Amino acid sequence: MNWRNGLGSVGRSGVALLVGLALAAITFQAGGFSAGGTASGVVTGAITGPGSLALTLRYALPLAFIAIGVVVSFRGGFFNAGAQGQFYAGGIVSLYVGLTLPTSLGGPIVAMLAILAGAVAGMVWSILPGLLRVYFNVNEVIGTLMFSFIAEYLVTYVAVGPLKSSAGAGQVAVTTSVPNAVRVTPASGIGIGVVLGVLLVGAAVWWLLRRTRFGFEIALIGRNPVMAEVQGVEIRQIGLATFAITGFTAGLGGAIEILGPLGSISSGYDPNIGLTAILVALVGVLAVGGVLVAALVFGGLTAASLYLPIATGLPSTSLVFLTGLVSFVVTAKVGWGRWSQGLAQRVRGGPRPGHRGDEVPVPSGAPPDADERQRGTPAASPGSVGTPV
Amino acid sequence: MNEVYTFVNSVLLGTTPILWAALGCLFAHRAGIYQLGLEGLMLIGAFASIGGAIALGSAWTGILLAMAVCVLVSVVFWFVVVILKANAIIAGLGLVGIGVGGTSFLQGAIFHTSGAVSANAIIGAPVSGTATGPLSMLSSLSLLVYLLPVAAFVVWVVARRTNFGLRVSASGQYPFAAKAAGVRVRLVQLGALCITGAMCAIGGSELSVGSLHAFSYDMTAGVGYVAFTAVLFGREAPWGVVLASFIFGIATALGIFSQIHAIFGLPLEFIQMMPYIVTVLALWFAGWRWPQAGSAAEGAFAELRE
Repeated sequence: MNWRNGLGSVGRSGVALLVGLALAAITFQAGGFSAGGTASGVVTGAITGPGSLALTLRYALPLAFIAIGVVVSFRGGFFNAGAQGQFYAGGIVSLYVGLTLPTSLGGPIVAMLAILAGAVAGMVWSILPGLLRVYFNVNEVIGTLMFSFIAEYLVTYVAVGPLKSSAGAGQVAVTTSVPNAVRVTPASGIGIGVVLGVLLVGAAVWWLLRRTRFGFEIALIGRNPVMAEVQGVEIRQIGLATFAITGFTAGLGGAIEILGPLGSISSGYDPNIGLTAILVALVGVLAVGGVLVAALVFGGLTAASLYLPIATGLPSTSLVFLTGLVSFVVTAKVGWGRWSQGLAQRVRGGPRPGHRGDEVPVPSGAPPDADERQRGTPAASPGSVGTPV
Repeated sequence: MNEVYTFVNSVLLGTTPILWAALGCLFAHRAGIYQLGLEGLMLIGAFASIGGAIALGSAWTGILLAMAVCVLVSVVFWFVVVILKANAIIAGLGLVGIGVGGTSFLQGAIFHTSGAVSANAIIGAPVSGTATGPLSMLSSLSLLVYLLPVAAFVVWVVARRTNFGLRVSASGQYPFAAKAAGVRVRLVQLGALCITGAMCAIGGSELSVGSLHAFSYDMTAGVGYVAFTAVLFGREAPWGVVLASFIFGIATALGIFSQIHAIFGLPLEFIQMMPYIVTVLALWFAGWRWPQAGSAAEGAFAELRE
């Protein structure tokens, strides 16, 4: 995606977000929760309330880590939907390393090693379905999702099994906490190192995608794998590399979550972060800058979802509902998006809308350019079926 | 012997929701649409049938309500994916989110609880209370289990022996040719998605009013994704889907069985992973043995649809 049609894409993301929020508000109103009260609750919970902004940032950070990696896969047309599992894998392994290595090595060193181990674990958890995808043509959506389910049980196993703490309260088993010296942030989840880490990873991925041959080849595969292959792009290697990068950043997210605000893993730990991170990547129009902004938006919504049950009694799972609604419509090609795209291009004097290669690459399994083809060659379908859009 | 009967019983119990959803998804898949939202549809169906059973006093009217709701949701899905050309996978994942979050929200709004919602009106079990003997294989299984052979046969007839089934396949495999032959591809896809929705509703109802007699948060726990895989693994053929669903049902039952009997001496969590591991292995096997199986479906998307 280039800057010229950025305006159109951002507009589309904004519209999808607003449509999702509106539908959610209508549902909440119908369910007996006043939409106005909910809206003001969201604002209080995400921005204006005491400590709300800090909480927004705290939830935006792991989302940003994961979504930056998801961007790489999606741009190559590989639909890595297993960020949650890779996040878990990173969390579990970093916890293990953080608990096992003696703190006499020095807290920061142990922390670095644990984070690195977590990121590698996320990478492995992503490469396994990636191998199935590139060598056996196994549907990567299902593959990565199945690995997420497996990781979910691993979380429970770790919490009730080898790393179980005797201090577990009630029915929830908890692992031993990592020593304070190894923690990368206080319980607030905000540390200058983590913020710098997000910016560093974002900058690295931006450079990789925009300034290297590798990034160019990813974009080629995303637009047209057949053409890319003809031109000599090693689809399998590049594909595996995108899986590796996505897993690496998701693992980083998990490691920093566990070594940061949480400190331990409890059984049934489910931050519902996988789908949200995919959505952050899409709403952020698969660009690093956009992802950082979108991560703040969804970090804010996550923070609000913790405040709303207290303020209005709305269950915190409402966020899952809202995320679902936005995902449902975010890739829909509504007339307005196309119109604004055309406007943006007229203003800047770029190629006409629908010029091949301007679209955000859409992951495989869906027609990346169906409407372009339709617009480009109207005569190709004389017996048009149904009503034209 | 009794262990065998119990095992068969839990195979049937585990297979039924997978199979209902997979048989429905077969149509969406043959029509060239990845319906990844099965999980969401099943949750919506499970919730609507419990709600209907409580409000209307009969589990069967609950199921009808669930089917109606899921068909409605499928129409919206069709509109977003086929008319507005949204990415089917992302919209499908969104549908799962809508199902998980929406049912949880409604559960709180209507029943004022975040725990389980149970109903007194349930689907009857023809055989119940038999703890031993061959009949215990069928013990406490709801009528929806008995309806499965009928459903599978009807699906086979509709998919393979009717004009509609041919149109569905044509719309999925060669949309341009189908169009040229006068098939209204989008309408056929709408029909296929509605069938998927209705059958997912039944699959979800089997979980709630059928076997557990209650609804709880995210109670499908991946059954929808497993059903989707069953369609891929069954190579989009009705009997293949039945076979694939049974394989996943057996994996589920093995998990329960070894949990009770501590067969492998493995921790519980590793046994609970079994269905998902088997799913991955099945996908790997399908990709290795029938390399074109997956790519044909994807090709339908990338090149041929619309």
